[in-house]
Amino acid sequence: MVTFKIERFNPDVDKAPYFQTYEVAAGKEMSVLEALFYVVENLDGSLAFRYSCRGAVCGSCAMRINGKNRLACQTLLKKLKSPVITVSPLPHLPIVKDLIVDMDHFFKNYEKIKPYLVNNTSAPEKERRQSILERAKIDEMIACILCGACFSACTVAATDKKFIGPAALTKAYRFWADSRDNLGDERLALVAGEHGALRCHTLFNCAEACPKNIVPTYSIQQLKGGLVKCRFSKPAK
Amino acid sequence: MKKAALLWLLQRVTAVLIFIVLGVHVYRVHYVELGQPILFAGIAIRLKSLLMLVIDSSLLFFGLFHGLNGLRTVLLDYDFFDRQEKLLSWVLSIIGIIFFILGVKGLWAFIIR
Repeated sequence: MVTFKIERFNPDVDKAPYFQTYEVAAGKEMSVLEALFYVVENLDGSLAFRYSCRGAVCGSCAMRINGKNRLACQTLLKKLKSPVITVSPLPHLPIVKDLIVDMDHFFKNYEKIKPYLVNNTSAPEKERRQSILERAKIDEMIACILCGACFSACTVAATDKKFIGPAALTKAYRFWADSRDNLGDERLALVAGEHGALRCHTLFNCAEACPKNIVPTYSIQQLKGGLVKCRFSKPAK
Repeated sequence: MKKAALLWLLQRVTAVLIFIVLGVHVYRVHYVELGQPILFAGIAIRLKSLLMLVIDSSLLFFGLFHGLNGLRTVLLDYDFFDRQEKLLSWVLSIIGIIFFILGVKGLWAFIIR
């Protein structure tokens, strides 16, 4: 048996979040998400949490497990090596219910960076081709599944509500550095200003939290360099 | 956009410059007359050297800029200060100017009376 301490909060009933303890009959290869299913099916059907793919692709089940932001579906109980597992919602985000947080602010920031390729040149007969090296530049950033673990771990995003956040900045770099995109300085302007890429304090909390082992700080530093170069060339629109 | 990028760059540039001038300052103050007693006359000689005055004044300027700009960056993380960004920048600039004048006055005391 493994003891699960799960943070509960129903804004309609509770004044503040509290922890509830459950004893889970843990299987050898059980993940935290499967343990949560066990709780819902056998112990308490009122527990609310978000999930979808169960394969670390959709990013829905990001939550704080034993003090670290992780994906519940890819976190195996045996890897945690702890008789007591504490599960709480992603910090610094408004709680909708129990382990479900409101990601509205996160996705609004994501929309700000125009998360799609923009190319105003006439389309070629076939595809816009990319060399292996061109693709390698953005390979890591493409793996981002927008789970919000980095955004929630970022202390700057926690205090500065206007800060665009590491996930959106990683994606901004991904499109800016993409050889098929030609938005250029205009794309940089989307992450400029006091609350854009330059606000990052280089704390690496985002890199530590990322379940896909992406280092958002690298992308952010590249954007900062681009912004400084842009400052001494032509002004961005 | 321009101001933020410029201040970010200057924060890095001043960090490198502090490293250089602080090295010269520490070397001159602590290692040139190593083992000898610290005397008023010795300090007076150092503070009459134009090169050392320029080095020490530069250290003061870069240090103040780096420290106060860093403080501005941290304070702007908070909504309260962010709403008063212009006022904050002015207040920190004035504090910097006052401390620079006071410091220069002390450093150049043996030359300008």
